[in-house]
Amino acid sequence: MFEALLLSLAESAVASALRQSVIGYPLLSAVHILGLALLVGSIVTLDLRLLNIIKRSRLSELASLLSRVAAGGLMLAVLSGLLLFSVQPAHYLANNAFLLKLALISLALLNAAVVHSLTAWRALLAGQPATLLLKVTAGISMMLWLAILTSGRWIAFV
Amino acid sequence: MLSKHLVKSVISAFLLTLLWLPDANAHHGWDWTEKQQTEMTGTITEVYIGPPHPRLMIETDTGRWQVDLGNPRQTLAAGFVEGEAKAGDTVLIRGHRSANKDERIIKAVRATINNKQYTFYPQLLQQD
Repeated sequence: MFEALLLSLAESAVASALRQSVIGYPLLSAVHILGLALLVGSIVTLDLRLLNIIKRSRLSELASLLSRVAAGGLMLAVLSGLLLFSVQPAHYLANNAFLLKLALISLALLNAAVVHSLTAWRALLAGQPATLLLKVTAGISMMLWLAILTSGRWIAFV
Repeated sequence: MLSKHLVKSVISAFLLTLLWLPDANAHHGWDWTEKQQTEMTGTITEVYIGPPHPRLMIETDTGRWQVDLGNPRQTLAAGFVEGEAKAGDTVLIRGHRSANKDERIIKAVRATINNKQYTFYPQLLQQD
């Protein structure tokens, strides 16, 4: 059912326009890369600060700023990604690197949702130091997003 | 202080050597293909014209092959657009097979379908 819905994306007007346009797809790829840069750049910086590998700047300010930049990057990446996917859904659904990437994204988003629901996170935004639990989630976050980046790049090589 | 510089130097040297690693292949260039040009006839089972890479799937005597065409711009320039070919059509591919025998991929220099020639890489065409 859901798969049929995804496959039907290929017949949409926007997917058809993207297949025929010479500049549409490269431009959309650039937007996708911009989304990744904002997302991974800010997340890795925040995770390194939480882990105390980066030591400068106040954590409460960084956490509030960088998590918002990451959310903006995520939005750009998801929207552009969905459009890139629509060009040939069946091809991507049969690609193991793509499926792995989706699974890892689910885990990373779950991790982010858990972090934002923690009282330790609210305490951090209020100026408290990072707890061990927050440091563990920062480590998980960094590994997951880097793995997502890698599996995403791998789509073209399987 | 000295050890910090040493660590940085070692990491830089390591990263620099990565530049000399052989490149991986995702349709790009010809390094991954055989040197000689070959011809292959098959029946088209799937046509994909669009980004990131136009391709055909064909059924031949030696099994199912993926045919990489030019990039979208080169494919358009060759005159191969939507409607030029469909599943069931017979195609003659002239191109370079993957150097990896386990990989049934051929990168087309020219495709001939219904007596019409589509040349993706005119400058690379070798005549017998």
